[in-house]
Amino acid sequence: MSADSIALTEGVYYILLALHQPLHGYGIMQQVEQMSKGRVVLAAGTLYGALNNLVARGWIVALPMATDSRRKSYQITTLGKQMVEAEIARLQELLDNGLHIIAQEKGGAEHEI
Amino acid sequence: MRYKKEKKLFWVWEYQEEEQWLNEKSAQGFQLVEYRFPGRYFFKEGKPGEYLYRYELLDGSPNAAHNQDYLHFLEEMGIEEVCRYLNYVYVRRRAELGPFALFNDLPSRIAYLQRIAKLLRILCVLEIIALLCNMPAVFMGFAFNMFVVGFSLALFLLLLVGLGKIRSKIRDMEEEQVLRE
Repeated sequence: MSADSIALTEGVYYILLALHQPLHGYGIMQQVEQMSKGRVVLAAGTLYGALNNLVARGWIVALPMATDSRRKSYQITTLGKQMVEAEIARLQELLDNGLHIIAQEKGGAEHEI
Repeated sequence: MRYKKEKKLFWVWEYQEEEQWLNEKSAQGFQLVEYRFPGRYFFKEGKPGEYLYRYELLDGSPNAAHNQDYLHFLEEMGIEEVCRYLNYVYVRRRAELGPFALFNDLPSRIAYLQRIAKLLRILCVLEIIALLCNMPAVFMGFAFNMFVVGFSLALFLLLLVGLGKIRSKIRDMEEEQVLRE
């Protein structure tokens, strides 16, 4: 899948953003909730499936576990960062087009009045 | 400490109803400790509403390495395993931590329903095999085999109804996915 043809789900996008620093599952969930001001809450099974999927695609990597820890941590890879950048460009295009059309319509409506 | 046993049957596709019933029991102060087939639930009296319950059909045995990894992940998230039956696990989390779900976006909810649909398809095939195996004896007039065939046929039709319900839920979610995430 090419970087410019993909639309990430909201959950995956936030997971990738959160993993710009190494985090374990619970940390990811908290970070995403915090970033989205409580709007995006990742369910445990959803998060687990997404993490496995992202590891399989090489977008994130599971870090070697410390001997005294049972928690697995993850971090974004270079490929994952490219995906985030492509997604930001896609979102920017959506935003620009949306704002442009709305502004045009508002301008037109003002002239009509 | 008081223990209570209750009998109640839920079909595979009635997973939301079963979870709701377990949470009602929890609200009444009865916390699930064990499940035994068919439909026997064992509760221990505790603090009303202390836990919220969910249950999940795993992809394979709970003892498989990938499911052990998953159950450990749930534990990290404050979700503890209560009991298991075949490929099912009953889990709970302290209610004070707020409402919780195991799957909450459309792709993961669809994937979970497809897992249930797969189980129903396997059960349908087993029922057909049971039917076919008993047919020769039915033609020879054995009453017991007639009963088995009748029972298998009824179960097969019921499974088909269940499969239809799950497929319809999947279809609705897929249509919703076209419009939103």
